[in-house]
Amino acid sequence: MNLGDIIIGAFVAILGLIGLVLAGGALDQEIYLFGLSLFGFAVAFDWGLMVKGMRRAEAARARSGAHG
Amino acid sequence: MAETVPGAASPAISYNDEVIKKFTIASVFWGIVAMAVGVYIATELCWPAFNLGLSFLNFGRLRPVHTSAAIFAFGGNALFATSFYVVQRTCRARLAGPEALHDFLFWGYNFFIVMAALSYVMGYSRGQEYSEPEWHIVVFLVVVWVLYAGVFIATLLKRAEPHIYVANWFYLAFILTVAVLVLVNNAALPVSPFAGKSYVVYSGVQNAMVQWWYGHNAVGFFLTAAFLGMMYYFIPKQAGRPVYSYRLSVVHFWSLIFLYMWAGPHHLHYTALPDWTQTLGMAFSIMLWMPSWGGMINGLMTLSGAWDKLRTDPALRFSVTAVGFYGMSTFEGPVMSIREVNSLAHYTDWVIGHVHSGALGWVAFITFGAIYYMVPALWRRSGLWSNRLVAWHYWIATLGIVFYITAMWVAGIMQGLMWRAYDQFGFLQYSFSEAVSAVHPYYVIRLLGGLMFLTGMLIMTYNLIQTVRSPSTERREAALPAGLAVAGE
Repeated sequence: MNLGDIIIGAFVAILGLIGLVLAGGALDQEIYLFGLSLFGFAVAFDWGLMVKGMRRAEAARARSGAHG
Repeated sequence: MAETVPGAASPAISYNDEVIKKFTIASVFWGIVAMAVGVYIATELCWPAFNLGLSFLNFGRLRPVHTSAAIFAFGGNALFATSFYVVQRTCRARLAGPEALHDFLFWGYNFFIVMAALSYVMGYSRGQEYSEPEWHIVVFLVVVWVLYAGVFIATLLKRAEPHIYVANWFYLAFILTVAVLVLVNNAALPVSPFAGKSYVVYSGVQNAMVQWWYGHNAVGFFLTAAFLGMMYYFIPKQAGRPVYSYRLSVVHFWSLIFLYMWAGPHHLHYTALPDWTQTLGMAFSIMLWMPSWGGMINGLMTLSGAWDKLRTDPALRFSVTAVGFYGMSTFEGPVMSIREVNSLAHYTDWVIGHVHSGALGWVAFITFGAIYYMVPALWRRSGLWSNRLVAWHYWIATLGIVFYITAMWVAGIMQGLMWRAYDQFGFLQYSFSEAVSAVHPYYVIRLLGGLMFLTGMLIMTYNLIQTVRSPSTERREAALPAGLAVAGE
């Protein structure tokens, strides 16, 4: 995982936390739905980022193994 | 994943095409959604029972779903896709920033669209046209948009080409202006940080003025300037010819962005807005004829010496017809902005016809032309799966537009005339419901036109899926070093 991925991942995680706070204090259905969706979006995005990062690392390992 | 273009003299550049593919797929998907919802609400206008008594199927809730899906989802995703495609190739530079950021732009922008659509069907809306999402959704959009601007500008800054190609000027004007428009028009005070309701900070006629400054510039910069960026890149590429007059394109750019800013008040003729402001809006709207037609002529004349390609390349037909519609709707708009004409046209279906000649004929057609060009290039196919299907799409969609806009012209002018008709005693000759009954047949024709346009969209989708599923053959752009990928070369 490179630094750019980590920064974006952390940024999206913060958005997700904001979503949770919004859902927690929601005074209406709209904010409740938006907050929970934002949290879900953040989880899904960061999950995808991690999977992508691991696949890249695996591919790099396989390449170096093939050359070594 | 990314494309590596072997340059003759320059080092190879690895473009990020993955994110462009995602935006392209999203554009096609949202295009189908937008048109399907449009057809549904057109059905409701013909036969109101189609709302089935369900609040979330009401015309009032679905109408912003249709407009937002068409403008911001179908059009917006297409603009993200093409702006990233064009800026990388004309700057000979990979998209700035990490791939994760580009992915965030894609998923974030589409999250905004889904959230906005959900809020509309739930009954949450600011009640301002083309600016319906409530404050929390707009805050999220602003985050995405600022990052988009950052990526685009940073890519321009790290370009290997000394010159910034004119298409990028149009895209940049679109990105910056939309940011300013959204920030100013959405200035609002939330009831609570935990409530999805806010109140706009402007009141009365000031609010109306700011709203239509925003509204008309959304048309001018989102639906016009940005798609002109598309025109200035893809038509020269499709035609294999340089832009007819590069100098004219620069004049087109500066005059268009200067004049558009002032045209908004023409939406508020015969309102509480001061008279001089209405006249100002009208005068600037009429002045817009010149840059609009200059741009149209530039687009069409780019085909000089390559008109024969219209016979063999149906995708190019979309782009060229789009420029024709651009000329037509930018002629019609100023005419409608003249106060006396507006007294007949305003609040009638003539406006709906005008909007759709621009939205379907210009925006959708120029997008179809660009998508038909980009998909084989992005997925490394020698061409589209079926040119015949492209031709079918073209004719069905064109006929659909003709049905749509002619029906709305007739319905609109008839409405305007019926509303202003007096009898010999000075009473209104027709009741409002008589005017509603009179336009019913034209609403059915409009529905038919919309159905045809949607059918064309489905044909395109099938053709694109088959193109992507067909085996990869030759590499379309590999023949050109990246530096020569500048439009027209």
